[in-house]
Amino acid sequence: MAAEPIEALCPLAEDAQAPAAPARRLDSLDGKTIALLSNDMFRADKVLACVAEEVRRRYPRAKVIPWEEFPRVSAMGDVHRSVAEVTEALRRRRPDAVVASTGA
Amino acid sequence: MRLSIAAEKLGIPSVSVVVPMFHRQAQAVARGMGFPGLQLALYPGAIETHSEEELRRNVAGLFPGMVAAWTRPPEHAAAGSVPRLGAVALRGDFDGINDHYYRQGWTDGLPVVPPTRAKVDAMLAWVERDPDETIAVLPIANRKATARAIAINAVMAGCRPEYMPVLVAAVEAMADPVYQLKDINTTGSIKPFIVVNGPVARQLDINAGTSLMAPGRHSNSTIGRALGLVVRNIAGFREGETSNGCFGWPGSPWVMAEDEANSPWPPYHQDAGCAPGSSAVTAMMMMNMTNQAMTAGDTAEPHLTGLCYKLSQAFGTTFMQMGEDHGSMFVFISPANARVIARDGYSKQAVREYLAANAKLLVEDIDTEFRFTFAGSTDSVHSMALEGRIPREWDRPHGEKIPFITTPRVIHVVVCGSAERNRNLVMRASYCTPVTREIRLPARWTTAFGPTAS
Repeated sequence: MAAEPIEALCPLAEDAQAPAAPARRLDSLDGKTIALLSNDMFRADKVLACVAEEVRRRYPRAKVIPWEEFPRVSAMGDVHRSVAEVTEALRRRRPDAVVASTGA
Repeated sequence: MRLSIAAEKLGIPSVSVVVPMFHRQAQAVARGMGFPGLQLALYPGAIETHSEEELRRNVAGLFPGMVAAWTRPPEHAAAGSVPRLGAVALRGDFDGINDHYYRQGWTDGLPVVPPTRAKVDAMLAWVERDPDETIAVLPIANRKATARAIAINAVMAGCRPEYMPVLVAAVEAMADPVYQLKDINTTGSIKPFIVVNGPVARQLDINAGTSLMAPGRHSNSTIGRALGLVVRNIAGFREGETSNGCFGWPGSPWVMAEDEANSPWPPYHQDAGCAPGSSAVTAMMMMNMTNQAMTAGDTAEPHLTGLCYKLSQAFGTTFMQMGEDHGSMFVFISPANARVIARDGYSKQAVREYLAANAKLLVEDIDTEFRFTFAGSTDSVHSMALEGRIPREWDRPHGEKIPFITTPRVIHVVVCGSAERNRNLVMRASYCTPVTREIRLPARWTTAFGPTAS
Protein backbone atom coordinates (compact mmCIF):
# COMPACT_ATOMS: atom_id res chain seq x y z
CA MET A 1 0.00 0.00 0.00
CA ALA A 2 1.39 3.41 -0.96
CA ALA A 3 2.09 5.83 1.91
CA GLU A 4 0.04 9.01 2.18
CA PRO A 5 1.91 11.94 0.64
CA ILE A 6 3.45 14.33 3.12
CA GLU A 7 2.43 18.00 2.98
CA ALA A 8 5.56 20.00 3.77
CA LEU A 9 5.39 23.69 4.69
CA CYS A 10 7.47 26.50 3.26
CA PRO A 11 10.24 27.65 5.66
CA LEU A 12 10.97 31.03 4.03
CA ALA A 13 9.99 33.97 6.22
CA GLU A 14 8.19 37.01 4.88
CA ASP A 15 9.76 40.40 4.17
CA ALA A 16 9.36 42.93 6.95
CA GLN A 17 9.50 45.91 4.62
CA ALA A 18 7.60 46.80 1.47
CA PRO A 19 9.72 48.06 -1.45
CA ALA A 20 10.21 51.84 -1.58
CA ALA A 21 10.40 53.98 -4.71
CA PRO A 22 13.91 55.00 -5.77
CA ALA A 23 14.83 58.66 -6.04
CA ARG A 24 13.94 60.49 -9.24
CA ARG A 25 16.86 60.31 -11.68
CA LEU A 26 18.66 63.32 -13.24
CA ASP A 27 18.26 64.44 -16.84
CA SER A 28 22.04 64.96 -17.13
CA LEU A 29 25.13 65.30 -14.94
CA ASP A 30 26.04 68.58 -16.61
CA GLY A 31 26.38 71.30 -13.98
CA LYS A 32 25.28 69.00 -11.18
CA THR A 33 26.91 68.37 -7.78
CA ILE A 34 28.01 64.85 -7.02
CA ALA A 35 28.83 63.74 -3.48
CA LEU A 36 31.46 61.06 -2.99
CA LEU A 37 30.86 58.85 0.06
CA SER A 38 33.46 56.45 1.41
CA ASN A 39 32.97 53.58 3.85
CA ASP A 40 36.72 53.14 4.11
CA MET A 41 36.53 49.63 2.64
CA PHE A 42 38.18 48.06 -0.41
CA ARG A 43 40.29 51.08 -1.37
CA ALA A 44 37.24 53.31 -1.40
CA ASP A 45 39.28 56.49 -1.34
CA LYS A 46 41.21 55.48 -4.46
CA VAL A 47 38.03 54.45 -6.27
CA LEU A 48 36.35 57.73 -5.45
CA ALA A 49 39.39 59.75 -6.51
CA CYS A 50 39.15 58.03 -9.91
CA VAL A 51 35.41 58.74 -10.09
CA ALA A 52 36.12 62.40 -9.36
CA GLU A 53 38.66 62.45 -12.21
CA GLU A 54 36.11 60.99 -14.61
CA VAL A 55 33.44 63.50 -13.55
CA ARG A 56 35.79 66.43 -14.09
CA ARG A 57 37.02 65.09 -17.41
CA ARG A 58 33.61 64.34 -18.90
CA TYR A 59 31.47 66.99 -17.17
CA PRO A 60 33.67 70.06 -16.61
CA ARG A 61 30.75 72.08 -15.25
CA ALA A 62 29.86 69.46 -12.64
CA LYS A 63 31.02 69.85 -9.03
CA VAL A 64 32.30 67.16 -6.74
CA ILE A 65 32.05 67.07 -2.95
CA PRO A 66 34.94 64.90 -1.74
CA TRP A 67 34.41 62.21 0.87
CA GLU A 68 36.60 64.05 3.37
CA GLU A 69 33.86 66.68 3.67
CA PHE A 70 31.45 64.09 5.07
CA PRO A 71 31.61 62.44 8.51
CA ARG A 72 34.03 59.55 8.67
CA VAL A 73 32.32 56.24 8.02
CA SER A 74 33.87 52.91 8.81
CA ALA A 75 32.11 49.71 7.91
CA MET A 76 34.00 48.34 10.90
CA GLY A 77 32.36 50.34 13.65
CA ASP A 78 29.06 51.84 14.66
CA VAL A 79 27.48 51.80 11.20
CA HIS A 80 24.09 53.00 12.38
CA ARG A 81 25.57 56.13 13.91
CA SER A 82 27.82 56.75 10.91
CA VAL A 83 24.93 56.46 8.47
CA ALA A 84 22.83 58.83 10.57
CA GLU A 85 25.65 61.39 10.54
CA VAL A 86 26.11 61.13 6.78
CA THR A 87 22.35 61.40 6.25
CA GLU A 88 22.37 64.64 8.19
CA ALA A 89 25.30 65.94 6.14
CA LEU A 90 23.54 65.01 2.88
CA ARG A 91 20.44 66.81 4.05
CA ARG A 92 22.57 69.89 4.69
CA ARG A 93 24.73 69.78 1.54
CA ARG A 94 21.93 68.58 -0.75
CA PRO A 95 24.00 67.16 -3.65
CA ASP A 96 22.25 66.20 -6.90
CA ALA A 97 23.73 62.68 -6.95
CA VAL A 98 25.75 60.35 -4.78
CA VAL A 99 28.31 57.64 -5.38
CA ALA A 100 29.20 55.39 -2.45
CA SER A 101 32.23 53.10 -2.35
CA THR A 102 32.98 50.33 -1.72
CA GLY A 103 30.15 47.92 -0.92
CA ALA A 104 29.87 45.60 1.26
CA MET B 1 24.93 50.08 0.44
CA ARG B 2 23.56 51.83 3.47
CA LEU B 3 25.00 55.17 2.37
CA SER B 4 23.34 54.83 -1.03
CA ILE B 5 20.06 53.89 0.57
CA ALA B 6 20.32 56.91 2.89
CA ALA B 7 20.70 59.10 -0.22
CA GLU B 8 17.79 57.47 -2.05
CA LYS B 9 15.57 58.01 0.99
CA LEU B 10 16.40 61.73 0.75
CA GLY B 11 15.45 61.73 -2.93
CA ILE B 12 19.05 61.84 -4.17
CA PRO B 13 19.87 59.36 -6.96
CA SER B 14 22.76 57.13 -6.00
CA VAL B 15 25.04 54.37 -7.21
CA SER B 16 27.17 52.07 -5.08
CA VAL B 17 30.47 50.65 -6.27
CA VAL B 18 30.63 47.02 -5.17
CA VAL B 19 33.24 44.29 -5.50
CA PRO B 20 32.33 40.88 -6.95
CA MET B 21 32.46 39.01 -3.62
CA PHE B 22 29.69 41.24 -2.33
CA HIS B 23 27.59 41.76 -5.43
CA ARG B 24 24.80 39.33 -4.57
CA GLN B 25 24.99 40.32 -0.95
CA ALA B 26 24.55 43.96 -1.95
CA GLN B 27 21.45 43.05 -3.93
CA ALA B 28 20.08 41.16 -0.92
CA VAL B 29 20.82 44.00 1.50
CA ALA B 30 19.15 46.49 -0.84
CA ARG B 31 16.10 44.27 -1.18
CA GLY B 32 15.95 43.71 2.57
CA MET B 33 16.10 47.45 3.18
CA GLY B 34 13.25 48.09 0.77
CA PHE B 35 15.27 49.22 -2.28
CA PRO B 36 15.38 46.20 -4.60
CA GLY B 37 16.33 48.37 -7.58
CA LEU B 38 19.33 50.06 -5.94
CA GLN B 39 21.92 50.87 -8.58
CA LEU B 40 25.23 49.02 -8.33
CA ALA B 41 28.46 49.49 -10.28
CA LEU B 42 30.33 46.20 -10.23
CA TYR B 43 34.10 46.68 -9.93
CA PRO B 44 35.84 43.82 -11.75
CA GLY B 45 38.23 41.50 -9.90
CA ALA B 46 40.10 41.50 -6.60
CA ILE B 47 40.58 45.22 -5.99
CA GLU B 48 43.09 44.75 -3.18
CA THR B 49 45.54 43.16 -5.64
CA HIS B 50 45.26 45.77 -8.42
CA SER B 51 47.85 48.41 -9.27
CA GLU B 52 46.78 52.05 -9.22
CA GLU B 53 46.76 52.06 -13.02
CA GLU B 54 44.53 48.98 -13.18
CA LEU B 55 42.25 50.55 -10.63
CA ARG B 56 42.02 53.80 -12.59
CA ARG B 57 41.30 51.93 -15.81
CA ASN B 58 38.62 49.80 -14.15
CA VAL B 59 36.85 52.79 -12.62
CA ALA B 60 36.94 54.59 -15.98
CA GLY B 61 35.26 51.54 -17.46
CA LEU B 62 32.56 51.67 -14.83
CA PHE B 63 31.82 55.35 -15.26
CA PRO B 64 29.35 55.21 -18.21
CA GLY B 65 27.27 52.73 -16.21
CA MET B 66 27.38 55.03 -13.23
CA VAL B 67 26.10 57.91 -15.35
CA ALA B 68 23.28 55.68 -16.56
CA ALA B 69 22.48 54.77 -12.95
CA TRP B 70 22.15 58.45 -12.05
CA THR B 71 20.11 59.38 -15.09
CA ARG B 72 17.89 56.39 -16.04
CA PRO B 73 15.04 55.09 -13.94
CA PRO B 74 15.99 51.74 -12.39
CA GLU B 75 14.28 48.72 -13.82
CA HIS B 76 12.02 47.06 -11.32
CA ALA B 77 13.17 43.56 -10.48
CA ALA B 78 10.55 40.90 -11.11
CA ALA B 79 8.72 40.02 -7.93
CA GLY B 80 9.45 36.31 -8.33
CA SER B 81 7.31 33.52 -7.00
CA VAL B 82 8.45 33.07 -3.43
CA PRO B 83 5.95 30.84 -1.62
CA ARG B 84 4.32 32.17 1.52
CA LEU B 85 5.64 31.06 4.90
CA GLY B 86 3.64 28.14 6.23
CA ALA B 87 1.89 27.43 2.95
CA VAL B 88 2.24 23.91 1.59
CA ALA B 89 5.42 23.99 -0.44
CA LEU B 90 5.16 20.44 -1.74
CA ARG B 91 3.10 17.25 -1.39
CA GLY B 92 5.27 14.20 -1.79
CA ASP B 93 7.38 11.57 -0.11
CA PHE B 94 10.42 12.06 2.11
CA ASP B 95 12.94 11.88 -0.72
CA GLY B 96 10.95 14.11 -3.06
CA ILE B 97 10.51 16.76 -0.41
CA ASN B 98 14.19 16.65 0.47
CA ASP B 99 15.19 16.99 -3.18
CA HIS B 100 12.85 19.95 -3.62
CA TYR B 101 13.94 21.72 -0.41
CA TYR B 102 17.59 21.21 -1.33
CA ARG B 103 17.08 22.63 -4.83
CA GLN B 104 15.30 25.64 -3.36
CA GLY B 105 18.29 26.35 -1.13
CA TRP B 106 16.24 25.81 2.02
CA THR B 107 18.48 23.14 3.61
CA ASP B 108 22.04 22.98 4.89
CA GLY B 109 22.78 20.14 2.50
CA LEU B 110 21.75 17.40 4.90
CA PRO B 111 18.35 15.68 4.78
CA VAL B 112 15.66 17.54 6.71
CA VAL B 113 12.58 16.40 8.55
CA PRO B 114 9.61 17.45 6.36
CA PRO B 115 7.85 20.24 8.27
CA THR B 116 4.24 19.09 8.41
CA ARG B 117 1.49 21.13 9.98
CA ALA B 118 1.17 18.62 12.84
CA LYS B 119 4.88 18.77 13.67
CA VAL B 120 4.92 22.56 13.46
CA ASP B 121 1.85 22.82 15.71
CA ALA B 122 3.56 20.57 18.25
CA MET B 123 6.49 23.01 18.30
CA LEU B 124 4.19 26.01 18.67
CA ALA B 125 2.54 24.41 21.71
CA TRP B 126 5.74 25.15 23.65
CA VAL B 127 5.62 28.90 22.97
CA GLU B 128 2.92 30.98 24.58
CA ARG B 129 2.60 33.65 21.92
CA ASP B 130 0.75 34.31 18.68
CA PRO B 131 2.44 32.11 16.06
CA ASP B 132 2.37 34.94 13.54
CA GLU B 133 3.51 37.75 15.79
CA THR B 134 6.84 39.18 14.67
CA ILE B 135 9.37 38.25 17.35
CA ALA B 136 12.26 39.88 15.55
CA VAL B 137 13.38 41.07 12.14
CA LEU B 138 16.62 39.42 11.08
CA PRO B 139 19.16 41.02 8.77
CA ILE B 140 20.30 40.89 6.06
CA ALA B 141 17.08 39.93 4.27
CA ASN B 142 15.10 41.74 7.00
CA ARG B 143 12.47 39.03 7.13
CA LYS B 144 10.05 38.45 9.98
CA ALA B 145 11.05 35.83 12.52
CA THR B 146 7.71 34.65 13.85
CA ALA B 147 7.22 31.66 16.13
CA ARG B 148 5.80 29.82 13.11
CA ALA B 149 8.85 30.56 10.97
CA ILE B 150 11.19 29.43 13.76
CA ALA B 151 9.08 26.31 14.36
CA ILE B 152 9.14 25.23 10.70
CA ASN B 153 12.91 25.50 10.60
CA ALA B 154 13.19 23.74 13.96
CA VAL B 155 11.17 20.78 12.67
CA MET B 156 13.41 20.59 9.61
CA ALA B 157 16.47 20.49 11.89
CA GLY B 158 15.07 17.60 13.92
CA CYS B 159 14.43 19.55 17.11
CA ARG B 160 12.14 18.29 19.84
CA PRO B 161 9.19 20.61 20.52
CA GLU B 162 10.46 21.50 23.99
CA TYR B 163 13.52 23.19 22.44
CA MET B 164 11.33 26.01 21.13
CA PRO B 165 11.72 28.38 24.12
CA VAL B 166 15.51 28.20 23.71
CA LEU B 167 15.23 28.85 19.99
CA VAL B 168 12.94 31.83 20.43
CA ALA B 169 15.29 33.40 23.00
CA ALA B 170 18.25 32.71 20.70
CA VAL B 171 16.54 34.43 17.76
CA GLU B 172 15.66 37.41 19.95
CA ALA B 173 19.32 37.66 20.99
CA MET B 174 20.64 37.33 17.44
CA ALA B 175 18.29 40.06 16.23
CA ASP B 176 19.71 42.67 18.60
CA PRO B 177 21.69 45.14 16.43
CA VAL B 178 24.73 45.04 18.74
CA TYR B 179 25.11 41.33 18.00
CA GLN B 180 25.76 42.37 14.38
CA LEU B 181 24.26 39.33 12.71
CA LYS B 182 24.45 41.41 9.51
CA ASP B 183 28.24 40.93 9.55
CA ILE B 184 28.40 37.14 9.63
CA ASN B 185 28.77 37.25 5.86
CA THR B 186 32.28 38.66 6.16
CA THR B 187 34.93 37.06 3.96
CA GLY B 188 36.81 36.47 7.22
CA SER B 189 34.20 33.76 8.03
CA ILE B 190 32.09 33.87 11.17
CA LYS B 191 30.25 31.10 12.96
CA PRO B 192 27.47 32.04 15.39
CA PHE B 193 27.12 30.02 18.56
CA ILE B 194 24.88 29.94 21.59
CA VAL B 195 25.64 29.47 25.30
CA VAL B 196 22.74 28.27 27.45
CA ASN B 197 22.72 28.96 31.18
CA GLY B 198 20.40 28.01 34.02
CA PRO B 199 18.29 24.95 34.79
CA VAL B 200 16.99 24.66 31.23
CA ALA B 201 20.47 23.63 30.07
CA ARG B 202 20.41 20.64 32.40
CA GLN B 203 16.76 19.83 31.70
CA LEU B 204 17.40 19.70 27.95
CA ASP B 205 20.66 17.75 28.39
CA ILE B 206 22.77 20.43 26.72
CA ASN B 207 26.41 19.42 26.97
CA ALA B 208 28.67 21.63 29.13
CA GLY B 209 31.51 19.14 29.47
CA THR B 210 33.79 17.05 27.31
CA SER B 211 33.47 17.83 23.57
CA LEU B 212 30.66 20.27 24.26
CA MET B 213 31.18 22.01 20.90
CA ALA B 214 31.19 18.73 18.96
CA PRO B 215 28.14 16.90 17.61
CA GLY B 216 26.63 14.06 19.62
CA ARG B 217 23.97 15.32 22.02
CA HIS B 218 20.53 15.68 20.47
CA SER B 219 19.84 19.12 21.96
CA ASN B 220 23.27 20.59 21.14
CA SER B 221 23.16 19.33 17.57
CA THR B 222 19.59 20.02 16.57
CA ILE B 223 19.19 23.41 18.25
CA GLY B 224 22.39 24.51 16.52
CA ARG B 225 21.18 23.14 13.21
CA ALA B 226 17.86 24.93 13.61
CA LEU B 227 19.67 28.22 14.18
CA GLY B 228 21.65 27.56 11.01
CA LEU B 229 18.40 27.12 9.09
CA VAL B 230 16.97 30.28 10.69
CA VAL B 231 20.06 32.16 9.54
CA ARG B 232 19.47 30.75 6.05
CA ASN B 233 15.69 30.93 5.62
CA ILE B 234 14.77 33.89 7.81
CA ALA B 235 17.91 36.03 7.93
CA GLY B 236 18.69 35.21 4.30
CA PHE B 237 22.36 34.13 4.42
CA ARG B 238 23.37 31.61 1.79
CA GLU B 239 26.95 30.57 1.17
CA GLY B 240 28.45 32.01 -1.98
CA GLU B 241 25.58 34.48 -2.40
CA THR B 242 24.95 36.42 0.75
CA SER B 243 27.38 34.63 3.03
CA ASN B 244 30.92 35.02 1.81
CA GLY B 245 33.37 33.43 4.20
CA CYS B 246 36.48 32.98 2.11
CA PHE B 247 36.99 29.51 3.60
CA GLY B 248 33.94 29.27 5.87
CA TRP B 249 33.68 27.10 8.97
CA PRO B 250 32.38 23.55 9.11
CA GLY B 251 28.98 22.60 10.46
CA SER B 252 26.03 24.49 11.83
CA PRO B 253 26.16 27.11 14.54
CA TRP B 254 26.88 25.23 17.73
CA VAL B 255 25.06 25.23 21.06
CA MET B 256 26.71 24.63 24.40
CA ALA B 257 26.05 25.13 28.10
CA GLU B 258 28.21 26.53 30.87
CA ASP B 259 29.33 24.01 33.50
CA GLU B 260 27.72 25.92 36.33
CA ALA B 261 27.95 22.98 38.76
CA ASN B 262 31.73 22.89 38.49
CA SER B 263 32.40 26.61 38.10
CA PRO B 264 33.80 28.60 41.02
CA TRP B 265 32.17 31.77 39.71
CA PRO B 266 28.60 32.98 39.11
CA PRO B 267 27.31 31.83 35.72
CA TYR B 268 27.69 33.93 32.57
CA HIS B 269 24.04 34.97 32.31
CA GLN B 270 24.21 36.51 35.78
CA ASP B 271 27.14 38.64 34.55
CA ALA B 272 24.70 39.84 31.88
CA GLY B 273 22.10 40.81 34.48
CA CYS B 274 19.85 37.75 34.66
CA ALA B 275 18.54 36.66 38.01
CA PRO B 276 20.01 33.64 39.80
CA GLY B 277 17.95 30.56 38.98
CA SER B 278 16.75 31.95 35.65
CA SER B 279 17.63 30.37 32.34
CA ALA B 280 19.05 32.33 29.45
CA VAL B 281 20.62 32.12 26.05
CA THR B 282 23.62 34.18 25.00
CA ALA B 283 24.33 34.62 21.31
CA MET B 284 28.03 34.84 20.52
CA MET B 285 30.06 34.39 17.33
CA MET B 286 33.50 33.11 16.44
CA MET B 287 35.83 34.46 13.77
CA ASN B 288 38.96 32.56 14.75
CA MET B 289 40.22 30.44 17.61
CA THR B 290 43.41 29.29 19.24
CA ASN B 291 44.37 25.72 19.94
CA GLN B 292 42.85 24.13 23.05
CA ALA B 293 45.94 24.88 25.06
CA MET B 294 47.02 23.37 28.35
CA THR B 295 48.05 25.57 31.24
CA ALA B 296 49.47 23.87 34.31
CA GLY B 297 50.13 24.80 37.91
CA ASP B 298 48.50 25.08 41.30
CA THR B 299 48.51 28.88 41.34
CA ALA B 300 46.65 31.36 39.11
CA GLU B 301 49.77 32.85 37.51
CA PRO B 302 50.65 30.22 34.89
CA HIS B 303 47.02 29.88 33.84
CA LEU B 304 46.53 33.63 33.45
CA THR B 305 49.87 34.00 31.67
CA GLY B 306 48.88 31.21 29.30
CA LEU B 307 45.56 32.88 28.61
CA CYS B 308 47.29 36.20 27.83
CA TYR B 309 49.53 34.38 25.39
CA LYS B 310 46.54 32.79 23.66
CA LEU B 311 44.63 36.08 23.53
CA SER B 312 47.54 37.62 21.66
CA GLN B 313 47.43 34.72 19.19
CA ALA B 314 43.72 35.40 18.60
CA PHE B 315 44.39 39.06 17.73
CA GLY B 316 43.49 40.41 14.30
CA THR B 317 43.70 43.95 12.94
CA THR B 318 39.95 44.26 12.57
CA PHE B 319 39.62 43.68 16.33
CA MET B 320 41.62 46.87 16.91
CA GLN B 321 39.96 48.82 14.08
CA MET B 322 36.49 48.12 15.37
CA GLY B 323 37.21 50.14 18.48
CA GLU B 324 35.95 49.83 21.99
CA ASP B 325 32.92 47.65 22.61
CA HIS B 326 32.56 46.36 19.04
CA GLY B 327 34.65 43.20 19.14
CA SER B 328 34.75 40.35 21.61
CA MET B 329 37.23 37.87 23.02
CA PHE B 330 35.70 34.65 24.33
CA VAL B 331 37.69 32.80 26.97
CA PHE B 332 36.65 29.24 27.74
CA ILE B 333 38.32 27.88 30.85
CA SER B 334 38.00 24.28 31.97
CA PRO B 335 36.60 23.88 35.50
CA ALA B 336 39.89 22.49 36.83
CA ASN B 337 41.79 25.62 35.75
CA ALA B 338 39.00 27.97 36.84
CA ARG B 339 39.08 26.49 40.35
CA VAL B 340 42.82 27.12 40.68
CA ILE B 341 42.47 30.71 39.45
CA ALA B 342 39.54 31.37 41.80
CA ARG B 343 41.34 29.79 44.75
CA ASP B 344 44.05 32.43 44.35
CA GLY B 345 41.45 35.10 44.90
CA TYR B 346 40.46 36.05 41.35
CA SER B 347 36.83 36.83 40.69
CA LYS B 348 35.72 36.56 37.08
CA GLN B 349 35.91 40.35 36.79
CA ALA B 350 39.45 40.29 38.18
CA VAL B 351 40.37 37.71 35.54
CA ARG B 352 38.97 39.94 32.80
CA GLU B 353 40.88 42.95 34.13
CA TYR B 354 44.11 40.96 34.35
CA LEU B 355 43.78 39.68 30.79
CA ALA B 356 42.94 43.10 29.32
CA ALA B 357 45.97 44.64 31.02
CA ASN B 358 48.46 41.86 30.38
CA ALA B 359 47.65 40.38 26.98
CA LYS B 360 50.18 42.26 24.83
CA LEU B 361 51.78 42.32 21.39
CA LEU B 362 54.89 43.92 19.96
CA VAL B 363 54.07 47.23 18.26
CA GLU B 364 55.95 46.20 15.13
CA ASP B 365 53.95 42.99 14.86
CA ILE B 366 50.68 44.94 14.87
CA ASP B 367 52.06 47.42 12.31
CA THR B 368 53.24 44.55 10.11
CA GLU B 369 49.80 42.99 10.18
CA PHE B 370 48.19 46.27 9.11
CA ARG B 371 50.70 46.59 6.27
CA PHE B 372 50.18 43.14 4.78
CA THR B 373 46.40 43.11 5.31
CA PHE B 374 45.27 46.23 3.50
CA ALA B 375 46.63 47.60 0.21
CA GLY B 376 48.03 51.06 0.75
CA SER B 377 46.90 51.07 4.38
CA THR B 378 48.09 53.98 6.42
CA ASP B 379 46.78 52.48 9.67
CA SER B 380 49.37 51.76 12.33
CA VAL B 381 49.49 51.82 16.10
CA HIS B 382 50.84 55.38 15.89
CA SER B 383 48.18 56.65 13.46
CA MET B 384 45.35 55.01 15.38
CA ALA B 385 46.56 56.54 18.64
CA LEU B 386 46.79 59.98 16.99
CA GLU B 387 43.24 59.60 15.69
CA GLY B 388 42.00 58.61 19.12
CA ARG B 389 40.94 55.16 17.93
CA ILE B 390 43.11 53.47 20.57
CA PRO B 391 44.38 54.85 23.89
CA ARG B 392 47.10 57.48 23.52
CA GLU B 393 49.41 55.61 25.91
CA TRP B 394 49.56 52.70 23.45
CA ASP B 395 51.56 54.89 21.05
CA ARG B 396 54.90 53.25 21.82
CA PRO B 397 57.98 52.65 19.64
CA HIS B 398 58.85 49.40 17.92
CA GLY B 399 60.52 46.99 20.30
CA GLU B 400 57.91 47.56 23.02
CA LYS B 401 54.79 45.56 23.76
CA ILE B 402 51.39 47.16 24.20
CA PRO B 403 47.95 45.86 25.25
CA PHE B 404 45.38 45.53 22.50
CA ILE B 405 42.17 45.02 24.48
CA THR B 406 40.68 48.40 25.28
CA THR B 407 38.37 47.30 28.06
CA PRO B 408 37.74 44.16 30.15
CA ARG B 409 34.11 44.45 29.03
CA VAL B 410 34.94 42.81 25.70
CA ILE B 411 36.33 39.70 27.42
CA HIS B 412 33.71 37.02 28.07
CA VAL B 413 34.58 34.13 30.36
CA VAL B 414 32.69 30.83 30.26
CA VAL B 415 33.63 27.82 32.40
CA CYS B 416 33.12 24.64 30.43
CA GLY B 417 34.81 21.63 28.86
CA SER B 418 36.27 18.52 30.43
CA ALA B 419 35.87 19.05 34.17
CA GLU B 420 39.17 17.51 35.19
CA ARG B 421 41.40 18.56 32.29
CA ASN B 422 43.53 21.70 32.41
CA ARG B 423 42.86 23.28 29.03
CA ASN B 424 41.60 26.65 27.78
CA LEU B 425 40.32 27.94 24.47
CA VAL B 426 40.23 31.53 23.20
CA MET B 427 38.08 32.81 20.34
CA ARG B 428 37.80 36.24 18.73
CA ALA B 429 34.95 37.97 16.93
CA SER B 430 35.75 41.42 15.58
CA TYR B 431 32.15 42.32 14.88
CA CYS B 432 30.16 40.97 17.80
CA THR B 433 28.89 42.08 21.15
CA PRO B 434 27.22 39.06 22.80
CA VAL B 435 23.55 39.41 23.64
CA THR B 436 21.81 37.54 26.46
CA ARG B 437 18.06 36.91 26.54
CA GLU B 438 16.15 35.17 29.28
CA ILE B 439 14.30 32.04 28.19
CA ARG B 440 10.56 32.42 28.71
CA LEU B 441 9.08 29.07 29.62
CA PRO B 442 5.49 27.99 29.02
CA ALA B 443 3.29 26.82 31.88
CA ARG B 444 3.63 23.23 30.71
CA TRP B 445 7.38 23.33 31.36
CA THR B 446 7.04 22.66 35.10
CA THR B 447 4.78 19.69 34.42
CA ALA B 448 7.29 18.22 32.02
CA PHE B 449 10.55 19.05 33.76
CA GLY B 450 9.75 20.05 37.35
CA PRO B 451 10.63 23.37 38.98
CA THR B 452 12.51 25.82 36.81
CA ALA B 453 14.76 27.23 39.54
CA SER B 454 18.20 25.67 40.14
